[in-house]
Amino acid sequence: MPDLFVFGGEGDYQTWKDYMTDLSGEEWASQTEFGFKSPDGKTVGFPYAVEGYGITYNKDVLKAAGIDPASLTNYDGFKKAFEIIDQKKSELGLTAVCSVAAESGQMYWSTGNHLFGYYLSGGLKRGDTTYIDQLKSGKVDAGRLGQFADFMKLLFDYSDKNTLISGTYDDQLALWAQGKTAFITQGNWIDPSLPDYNVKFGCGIAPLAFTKEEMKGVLADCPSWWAVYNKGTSIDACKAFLKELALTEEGQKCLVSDCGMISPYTTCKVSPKTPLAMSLKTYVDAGNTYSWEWTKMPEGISMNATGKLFELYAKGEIDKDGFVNMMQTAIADYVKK
Amino acid sequence: MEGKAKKTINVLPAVIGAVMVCCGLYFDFYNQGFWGRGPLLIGGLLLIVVGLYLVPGRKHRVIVNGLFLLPLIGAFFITVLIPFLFGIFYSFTDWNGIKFTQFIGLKNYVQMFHAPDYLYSLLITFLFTVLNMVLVNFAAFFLALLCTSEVRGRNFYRASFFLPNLIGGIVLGYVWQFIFNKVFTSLIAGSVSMLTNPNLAFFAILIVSTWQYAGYIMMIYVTGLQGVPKDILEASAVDGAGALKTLLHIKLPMIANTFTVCIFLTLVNSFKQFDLNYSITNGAPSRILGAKAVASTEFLALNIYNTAIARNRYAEGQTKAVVFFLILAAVSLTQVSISKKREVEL
Repeated sequence: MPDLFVFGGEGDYQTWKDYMTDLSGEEWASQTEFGFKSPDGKTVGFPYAVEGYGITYNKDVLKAAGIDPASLTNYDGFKKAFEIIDQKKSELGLTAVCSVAAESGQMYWSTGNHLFGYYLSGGLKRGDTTYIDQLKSGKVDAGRLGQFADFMKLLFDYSDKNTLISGTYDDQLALWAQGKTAFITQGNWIDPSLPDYNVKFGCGIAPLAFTKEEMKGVLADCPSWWAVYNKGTSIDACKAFLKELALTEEGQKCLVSDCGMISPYTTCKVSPKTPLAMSLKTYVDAGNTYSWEWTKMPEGISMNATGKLFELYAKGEIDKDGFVNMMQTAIADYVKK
Repeated sequence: MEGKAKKTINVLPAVIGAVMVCCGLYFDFYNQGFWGRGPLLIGGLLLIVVGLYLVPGRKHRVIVNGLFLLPLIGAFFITVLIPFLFGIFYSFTDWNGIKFTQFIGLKNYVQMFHAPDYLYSLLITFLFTVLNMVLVNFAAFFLALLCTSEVRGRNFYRASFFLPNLIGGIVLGYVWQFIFNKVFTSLIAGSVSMLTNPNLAFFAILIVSTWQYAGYIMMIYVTGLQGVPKDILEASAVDGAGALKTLLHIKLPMIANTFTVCIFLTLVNSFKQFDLNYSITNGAPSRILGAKAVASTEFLALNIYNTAIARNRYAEGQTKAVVFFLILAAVSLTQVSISKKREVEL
């Protein structure tokens, strides 16, 4: 067993909890709200980054089309923006408005985890577990899911068709990064790939605001955590290492500048230089973020159950009611097993 | 008297070895901090081996033979047999990959046959196996005929048909995925990828699998065809048999044992298909079955992998693997025994 190991959320926590050291007493634990806490409130996971996602936009295209990114905070805002951009597609040099990939074999994580994550916690206070608790007991909120389905339909309707139903992550990213679409449903992790495509345009992240009401924040959280093996021989050294990494300037530089991530620590003074990290940071600093409740979903649910429904919906094989109903049965079945 | 003392001395190393192994094992369980448990165990095992070698008597020769086989048998046990037995053991527990808390009997076995996704996987795996077996063998045999005929550049053909088999399945799968998704859709403008239709995606995997595997099977057929005795072929030519007659009545019966091998290989390989399945579709696209969505191209091996890795249900995955083994063993043994009957003894 290594002294430090990564775990990805609640499912992993259940499997590995007997091997984790209590880190509540560490100095960094009080300087972040992104640490992983066990049910009894002990910090056991060290957060090393904040990642966030929503609908990432091409700032230059939006500007040329006369759309203010700040207006993209509800269903109607997006609908209007999509319509305007769609009309000006040829003069903006676009092939489609959005770059979305919903194929179930390889993109289930994007649809079934990330997009669906907005249904679970978009617009809610951090730590509000209403919908994830519902899901874990095999239920969904049909009204909210209906709104979400409407938004997905909107997104799919304005997406590049081939990429939508058969594209991989690379296809999706290439389409957007080459300036052929205005929006992409990915987050700040695409920052390091932007130089590969020689991206010159400005970009930012907008909330995936599927509701009729305003939704001004994005989903941002630590994607996975580091735990210290509690029977290891160098627990103290691990603790010292984590402390250095989180709190010293050198450690912060390593995480933020070298790795291109956003530090989850309030005391971090190094600021990111990549465009999407900078955009995300404004949300984090303003406290305008929602937690990633989707990491608490039963393991493999997006791959084995929900991801398929996104694909069927994107291909038009099921309609909104079909999507909502099948989602309900798929989740109920999955939880039961 | 002297003989007896000698015997005792000869048995001594084995006894000491056994004691050392026991001590080593004891420390393994109750005092893991003790540094000497490894040397104790290994030293003990070595002493037992030496002791066995020194044991006198009529059985001496048998023991020596056994000792020479030990490295191979040891490796086989450690890498195949013991994990296999562990696997069967775990299928009766609630193992989660790290530890298990209780025995649950046959619950895993009962549960998996109630899962529609598993039954669906079973069905399409059978379908795939049959189609792939037929296709690969037909293609391979045809290519083998081509490569053993008088056609010019047959060695070049032989090498190039064999080539796809040298590329790893995962790489091949992604290359072909690109071909299906990008090349075909731009060749036929406006068409959507084959991989978005459940039925066509199934055939896509079939095409790639045949393309990859036919060259390998071809090589075996080539060897078989070259092994047909020349005198028989000449005799048949003298008797006025044409190419087709020679093929049907001389070559085919003569290489029946090659068919046994090839059909066995393709059967087993098609049934175990994983890498192409994983990289080309990974189960996609979805198919609506009843009111539920299933992964239309998720073959058994991938289903097992997803159960264990993605869902973190290791015991259930292991159970499926045990059943997978039983089915595969039954089917391939049946095939071999049927094919064997058709072989001609030379």
